[in-house]
Amino acid sequence: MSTVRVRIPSRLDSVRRFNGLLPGYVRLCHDKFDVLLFQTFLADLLVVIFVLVLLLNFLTLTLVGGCSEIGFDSVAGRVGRGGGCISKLLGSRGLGLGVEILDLGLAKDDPGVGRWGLVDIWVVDYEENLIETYVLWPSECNPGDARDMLQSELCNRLAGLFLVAGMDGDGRASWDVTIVIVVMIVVMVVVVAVFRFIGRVLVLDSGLAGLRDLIFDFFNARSNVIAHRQLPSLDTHALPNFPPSMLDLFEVITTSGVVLWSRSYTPVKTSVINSLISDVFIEERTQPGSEGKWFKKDSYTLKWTLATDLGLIFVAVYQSLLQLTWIDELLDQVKKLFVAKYGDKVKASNGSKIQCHFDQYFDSSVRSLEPRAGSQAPARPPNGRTATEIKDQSDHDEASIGSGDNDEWLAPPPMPGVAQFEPSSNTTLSPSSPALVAQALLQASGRRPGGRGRRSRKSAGHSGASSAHASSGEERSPGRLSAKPKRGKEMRIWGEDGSAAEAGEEQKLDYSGTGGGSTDDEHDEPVRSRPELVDQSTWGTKTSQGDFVLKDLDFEINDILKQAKESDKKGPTGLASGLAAGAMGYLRNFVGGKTLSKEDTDKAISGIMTHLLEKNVAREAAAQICDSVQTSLVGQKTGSFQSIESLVKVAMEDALRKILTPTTSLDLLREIEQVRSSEGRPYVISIVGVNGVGKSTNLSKICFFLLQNKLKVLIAACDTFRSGAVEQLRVHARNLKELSEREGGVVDLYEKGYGKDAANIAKDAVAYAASQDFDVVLIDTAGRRHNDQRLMSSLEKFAKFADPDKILMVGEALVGSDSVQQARNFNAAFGRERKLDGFIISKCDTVGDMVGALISMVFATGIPVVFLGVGQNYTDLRTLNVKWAVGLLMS
Amino acid sequence: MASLLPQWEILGLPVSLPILFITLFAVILIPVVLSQLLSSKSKDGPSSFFLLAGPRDSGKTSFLLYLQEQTLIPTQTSTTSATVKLPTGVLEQIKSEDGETSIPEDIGSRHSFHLKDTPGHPKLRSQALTSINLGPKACIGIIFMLDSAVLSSQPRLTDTVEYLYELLLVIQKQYNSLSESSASSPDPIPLLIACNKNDLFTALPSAKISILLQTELGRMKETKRKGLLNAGAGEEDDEDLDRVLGDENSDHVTWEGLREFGVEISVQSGSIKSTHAESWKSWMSSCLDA
Repeated sequence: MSTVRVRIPSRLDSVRRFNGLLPGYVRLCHDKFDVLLFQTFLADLLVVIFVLVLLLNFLTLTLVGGCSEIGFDSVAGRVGRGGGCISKLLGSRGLGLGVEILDLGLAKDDPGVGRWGLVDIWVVDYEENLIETYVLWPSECNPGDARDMLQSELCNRLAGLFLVAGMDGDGRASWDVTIVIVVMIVVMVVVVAVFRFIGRVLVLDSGLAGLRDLIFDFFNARSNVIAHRQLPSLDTHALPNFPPSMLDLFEVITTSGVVLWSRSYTPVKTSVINSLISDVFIEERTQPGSEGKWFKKDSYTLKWTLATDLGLIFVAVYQSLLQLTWIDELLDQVKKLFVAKYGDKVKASNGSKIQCHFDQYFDSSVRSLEPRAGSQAPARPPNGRTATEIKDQSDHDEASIGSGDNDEWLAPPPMPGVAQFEPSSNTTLSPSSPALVAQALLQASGRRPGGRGRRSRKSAGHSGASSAHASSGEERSPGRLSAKPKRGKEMRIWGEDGSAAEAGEEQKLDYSGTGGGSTDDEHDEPVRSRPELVDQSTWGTKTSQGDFVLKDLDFEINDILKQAKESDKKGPTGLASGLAAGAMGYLRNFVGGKTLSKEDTDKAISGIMTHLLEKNVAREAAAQICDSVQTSLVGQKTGSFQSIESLVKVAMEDALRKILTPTTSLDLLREIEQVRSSEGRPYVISIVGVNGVGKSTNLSKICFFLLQNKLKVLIAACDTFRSGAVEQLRVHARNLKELSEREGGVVDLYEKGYGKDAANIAKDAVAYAASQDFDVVLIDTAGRRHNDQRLMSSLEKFAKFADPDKILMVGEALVGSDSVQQARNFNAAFGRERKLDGFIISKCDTVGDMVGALISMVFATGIPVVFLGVGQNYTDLRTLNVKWAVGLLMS
Repeated sequence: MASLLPQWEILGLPVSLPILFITLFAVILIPVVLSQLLSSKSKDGPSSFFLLAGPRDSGKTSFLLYLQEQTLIPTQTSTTSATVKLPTGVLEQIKSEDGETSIPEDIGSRHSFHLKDTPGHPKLRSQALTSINLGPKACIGIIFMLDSAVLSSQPRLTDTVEYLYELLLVIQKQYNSLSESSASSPDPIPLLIACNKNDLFTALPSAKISILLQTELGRMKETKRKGLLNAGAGEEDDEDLDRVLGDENSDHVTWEGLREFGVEISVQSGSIKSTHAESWKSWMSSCLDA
């Protein structure tokens, strides 16, 4: 048997995959439309390039290498000369159309010259996967006919694959090149315009929600666009308002400060949440032991979760006494629900107020999570009806194909009578009050225990339709419709025989109209307009016992949560299918518009972390800063042509600036003046620090600065430990006195020798200064190791006795990873009420641009840098310039 | 057609150079033209806006929401700025006594302005300061909102004035560079000091606040002049030269004096809580008219 294997170009595969591209692009549009327009343009550009490259291929194929040139004439012409020759010839010859003949062999036992046996043709794709195979029988023809036959056959078959390219049956191109290009352009313009329009509709015009859903459904084949569903309106909803909870307050806040939704169980001061925001989110101070998971203020504990991409903060407030374990879960669930329901709106609203009817969702979440000891059912009220009624499901059950156990539930005769809900354990229902019916149905969300008696009946069926049935049906339908605008219809489907129906794909809802021989004409419009296709899964599910559970709010919530979980799993690729996602994702690395995930930023973050470490930032601080930068970046989108690295860098600069910017005024002169004028006492500054960091030197620099401003300064020598410390200060005092005589400043030294208690000396010095009318007291203290508990403990007494207005800690710029611990220990050393007021970073001139210690210390404590020591002279004292420091750190 | 014959093969496909060029040309040109067409319509960013600044807890976001929704909406500390487009109708609406919440729709749809709310936390003030731009088509006006009930306490006053000082300094700097570059000196930017919360018992009247702010600014100016150089001093972008607000030869700061330095200040009381903000609204509409 002879075989021909033909390989078709790989790009044809792309053609087939192209179908997958279109909806992907639509979703991309949807996804992207709040971004810069330029990025949308880029997305368009990519799609256009892709499509045009495809069309380019077709063009070259059709115009240049059509099927007609598929060198079969030569093949056939030489058939008689032996198979080896033929295959050689074919191999050497390029064929148009990109179709290449891999091998063409004649079977050894071929009968005679000029005759082929069976020609077995294999069409393979680029990876040599078999696409199709067929057998030709040219054996009976002469070589010429065989050629024609083979050629036309192959062309026809192959042309099937090339239909799009506009070839006619002979495989000949039928269009002129210019026409094709013009058509292409028009098509492109239309495609892009349409997609843009769709994107716009999807995002911007929420008024066209119907159209949006339609498009979504069409492309996504998602039958459930839950996020866009209408809620049952409040008044028909059976849930009690404000069920009591252990929570005190729950708020959904935008980062721009608007409270989008809140539920307050007890009045809580707004300052509680405000302090959470300013302490945790702005100043990034975590309370000891909390690891950033909770925040305590007054008697409350606050927990929160963030949706960084939308700029939302979810905060739960409860009494610290309570150990509520379910808060995290609640926050997570509420976040998912809120984002699913209002995410688009929040995005479009640009950080301002939107209307949220979130109450039921929240209540339901709380109910399902909050265990209520000794009270009613945990999640769902048990007082519903059973699904034993489902057994009444009868003949018109094409729908139940999926549910195999249906047969055994086959119907007992339905009870004739007025449609009625039997009163169940604690709900009384009457058929004449549609709203109540709706209520009951909503409540009956759980299993529905109970017997045959508890049934809703609407028996228009087998016993013959009485007018009463008909009218009851009519009465209820509009009621339902109005009570639950959209989903109501789907949720209450009752069999004609009174069962909760498993409505199937092809089943109509309107049993009252079709059952028992009564004709449609007997029913009025609302009833007749109801028939629609119902997918069982859209309105309820079956439990393992075969109980049918109606869909309600809890279902919707579950659905949203399920979807959120799935999309979590899928990640961002879920947004755009297959090829499009891959290509776009890759390209976005370069052109921007990429939504960042944690993995994306990992590399850049670790790079910048190394950079920080090189700048002498303590590892602990660097790691934490990087962490917070990373969390703030996740979910963000890169700008046009912005690499992740540059985005991370910008974010890092912002973070560093935020850390270094002081929250209080650092104007020392102003404060001194203030204290002097209002209280008349001297302003007390004390200086602490580890050994040898330059406490005395910086003290004299500050003193010089104060003297230049014509203040009267008393230096108190409270280093009673190190020999020479007092003498050193005496020299400084003498120098300063000489320097400042002309300026008009007065400086004096208060000393009591060595060995005495520093706290007492400090106290005496302040009293002395007050009596002598000094403006400022500068207290020098002994250097102490920050991890020496014995030495550090004396600081608390010192702070109490001297009661300084400012306690400044001197830290070396040279210090490395120890800086964090130094700052923390000194900050904690002054007791519960007293903290450090500022840092003086000395020896900045010796480190060049490695000013990491600045960041480490400020980050560890949140205390600002007041002064920098930049040299050996009295004048070498500077205030911190945040821009300068950030510039050095990022250089 | 001869020219269209393939010259090369790429990946087994014959490629024709002219077709390649034509296609590439089309590919590059179409989206550019298209996006030009589309973006010209939709690119309606906040090229000119009112800036809403001020220390925290002064009611900036509340004012924004009050203008937007005409009701009081609870707020928390902001951490990001928000720009909202508002119809000018919201400013005129109060004038008609009887039609309470009726915004004249024809006006509302045609004329609108942007209002940029910025966080007031000290660490986030740079967001407001960097968005000040005196160039053409930039800030229409700046609203500096403060809490008139807390100014009697010194720390809060210092905080408020420090922010105001920084703000005025930024304006002054920009104004100086602007007037250097152009021959005629540009118009000063209007700045409203909106003294919010005057419904509270401890609130100071606007005249008192005005004096308080001016003297406090003067004091701050004095200490800043005496203060230390900052660490970046002496390097290329030396900011120290511009540290002094207003006239360098005097330690006093007056609103009239600041007019030369690019800002025209008016101080007006109001209260969002008691929906008493007409004076601010009329100030805004006068800015828009100008």
